[in-house]
Amino acid sequence: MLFPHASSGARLLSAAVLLALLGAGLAALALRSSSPRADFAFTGGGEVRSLDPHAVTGVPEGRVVRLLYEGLVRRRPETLEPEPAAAKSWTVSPDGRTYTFELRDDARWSNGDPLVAEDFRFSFLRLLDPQTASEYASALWLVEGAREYTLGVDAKGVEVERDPARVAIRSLEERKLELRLEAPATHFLQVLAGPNFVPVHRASLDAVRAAHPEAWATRWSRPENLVTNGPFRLVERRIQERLRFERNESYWGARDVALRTVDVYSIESWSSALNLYLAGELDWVDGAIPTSLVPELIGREDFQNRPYFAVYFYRVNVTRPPFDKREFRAALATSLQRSEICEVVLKAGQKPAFSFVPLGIGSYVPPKTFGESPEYARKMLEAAGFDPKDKAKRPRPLELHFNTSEVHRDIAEVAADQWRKALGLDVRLRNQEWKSFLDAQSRLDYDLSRSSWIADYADPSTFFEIWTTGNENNRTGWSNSNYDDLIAAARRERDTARRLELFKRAEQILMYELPCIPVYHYTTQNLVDPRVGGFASNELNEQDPRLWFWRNDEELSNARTNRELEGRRVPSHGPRAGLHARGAAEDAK
Amino acid sequence: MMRFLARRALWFALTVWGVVTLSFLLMRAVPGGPFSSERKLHPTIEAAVEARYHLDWPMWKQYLQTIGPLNLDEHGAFGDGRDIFGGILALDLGPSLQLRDVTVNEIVAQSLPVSAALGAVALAWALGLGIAGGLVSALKPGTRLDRAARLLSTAGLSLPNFVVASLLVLLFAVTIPLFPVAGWGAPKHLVLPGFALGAPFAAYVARLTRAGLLETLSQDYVRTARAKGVPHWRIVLRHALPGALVPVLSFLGPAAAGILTGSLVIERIFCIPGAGSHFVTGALNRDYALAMGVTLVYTVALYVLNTLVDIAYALIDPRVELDGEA
Repeated sequence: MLFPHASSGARLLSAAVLLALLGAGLAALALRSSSPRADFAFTGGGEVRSLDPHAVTGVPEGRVVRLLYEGLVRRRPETLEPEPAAAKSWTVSPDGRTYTFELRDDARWSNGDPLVAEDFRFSFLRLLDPQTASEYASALWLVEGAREYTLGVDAKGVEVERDPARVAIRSLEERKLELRLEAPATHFLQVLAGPNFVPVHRASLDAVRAAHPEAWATRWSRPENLVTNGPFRLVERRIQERLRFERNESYWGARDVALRTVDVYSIESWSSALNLYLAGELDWVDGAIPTSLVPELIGREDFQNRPYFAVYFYRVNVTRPPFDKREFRAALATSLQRSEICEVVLKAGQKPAFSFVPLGIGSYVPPKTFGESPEYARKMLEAAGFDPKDKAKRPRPLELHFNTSEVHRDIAEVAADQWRKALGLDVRLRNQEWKSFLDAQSRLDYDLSRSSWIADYADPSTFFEIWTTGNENNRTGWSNSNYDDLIAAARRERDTARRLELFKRAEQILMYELPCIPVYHYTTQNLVDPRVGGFASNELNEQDPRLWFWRNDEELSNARTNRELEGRRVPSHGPRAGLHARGAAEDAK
Repeated sequence: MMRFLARRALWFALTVWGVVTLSFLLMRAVPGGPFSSERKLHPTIEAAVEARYHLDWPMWKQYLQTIGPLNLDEHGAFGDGRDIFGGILALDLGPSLQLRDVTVNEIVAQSLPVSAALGAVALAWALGLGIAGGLVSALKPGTRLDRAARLLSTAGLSLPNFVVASLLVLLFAVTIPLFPVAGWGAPKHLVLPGFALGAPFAAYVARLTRAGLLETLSQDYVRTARAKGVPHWRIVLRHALPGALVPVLSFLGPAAAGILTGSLVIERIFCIPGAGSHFVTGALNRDYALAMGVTLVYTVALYVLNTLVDIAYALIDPRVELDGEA
């Protein structure tokens, strides 16, 4: 007994008081001082994996990198053409292999240090270093000596010393950087405009590494240690909650950046993001909208869906019979009714895909490929040696493999049903949780496996490399030397028209061989306040945060008139309550 | 009392060791690694990352590194000695493999108080509403009030908490904007999620209170008190209720466990940066360090809570002797 003399009522009371105190203490601990709402708040999904621009891959991470950092070039949001960023100009040598960049004289880091060519050299080498573990290191292998530097082996597989001096990146002068490519690459500037090819501040990184040899990665990205060169800088990070950014006054173009603060929220659930948007807590929600909500959003002024350079497809394991027969793969590809999947399941304007590469990337026009025809599909099935009517000649049951998700299941069910109806195939669904799914896919433990591929930049090469022999993203067992040769030739080709022609021929092979069955091309799905100006709408769904601003009433009504001319349905009222009130307050400031 | 605590401490150490070993083995037994993604890494690069997190070490060495207290890598006790300690015994849960900028210690330090605050509010709702509801039911058994309270508690028990949460958001955040739809930072953010999380437990507490009170009210000592002319409210609150609450108290242990581990869904719906979502994403992303860290923290929290409940048990019921426990 602890308190033998206390009455039972007193004991009960003391227990209740203790519990209440505990609760109050914890609540006080957990509820942190809440800072006022930022000028602009958005979410791109869950927590960003890292703020290290050389270690990240995802779309949400890319958005954060664009707030914090600035590369040599960026893409103009409307046209996706490269334009000067930290470099004010560049020249390309007549042989198309040497790029010389002249940095801006007024480009500075957030701590005031000047941004110099050496920063880029250091950063590109860091990106290439296998210790950095960048998934995009291979994108920079266009540079002479870069591949050897990452892999430690030369083209013939002989081990070589990893020497930074052998990588053809040189700082010629304080603000002059030279990159020499292995072969001319017309899309090099497109690659460089990506979020991974930005500089990091060497002095602050080295200081943190020296002080914390084990935990440098976790110290470096803290607001007090992180030095960046982009339009915004990090001021606060709350894990699984939000990142707060403030305008970087050292940024050379800070005078033209309208927003003073930006919040990036980490929100896992789309419907919660929608609720927060409707309540005015978020100004932009970017992400895959649950298909059940699409019909409600599709007519709204603040819902923007545009073609997106991304493709949804099924990988075909060509090492397993009956998928080793091209005719069988063709039967599957031609018997799929893609418009049913787009219209019944997805409903957000996605386009049926008859080519792997989406329409309109660069000036690439996909070749004429297969069409949809159940009769043709049946003919192909027979050509592969099967006959659904004959029990002995019926193909074995197939397995359609996808990662656990409602929309993938819906699509798989429709596809399985179509294949059953058209070809009499017995298609079974097999879903796996994401990591097990990826593991099975890379071990080629599947028949047909769902996949998607999103363009990194606005050039068709971003869709072609993965199907070359031995590429780690091939994951189908497919290999075709003609295809490899065409892609290798396109890599070296300097003439745009001839290069596109090579890609076209490569895609013809790909879509004849069909190691992948394209299903649809994605659309972007942005829910964004119409009052947000400077919001880009392009096929990479790429934003330039420097351009964002809040429209006043006049600007809003002009924007609406212009959009009406484009033939969009525009309601006469604002999309959500409180919008105008807040806008007015904004104007008054 | 001291013997009780000593025995508990011993069992605590054994439990934690068991949980750690089991999660270590289970995490590595499932297919897929922490660095697999749709865009696959080049094998050379993948090997370099795995080496950074010591995933290239033999299993026994990784296990020893996880347990601690000595750091075994090149900066550790047998290396250049710049970072001698590490592992669970050194209270160092290591860097997260998925969220590369943060350590698991930082994640736990940021998210655990949040989950605890949410859990405390949920528990407060559960006890407050549950006991009040049970009291009302037991005092007027068979009346409409009783039936209404019992209907509500059945509803509370049978509705999953995400349904309750969605209804609450619809009612009290969207239709009548009393509370924020989601988010974290102010006390007002705690009300709806706390209620949604606590609702099923409130329902159960109400049932326990009602049953317990009906039983104690029919006991001889209550009749004696009545015969002595003790006022009705005093009989209920001082004589009957404490005895009736013993089952509620013993339910607090499981309830705390349920609230802690069940907070995941509520945290997602209300965008609360608590530990629940790390528990799940850690496992899903094969973030060995994070999954291990959160599992460990949950184990410790549940063990401590259960021990506290046992102590409270003795506080409220003089017949319970802690040291006499078999």
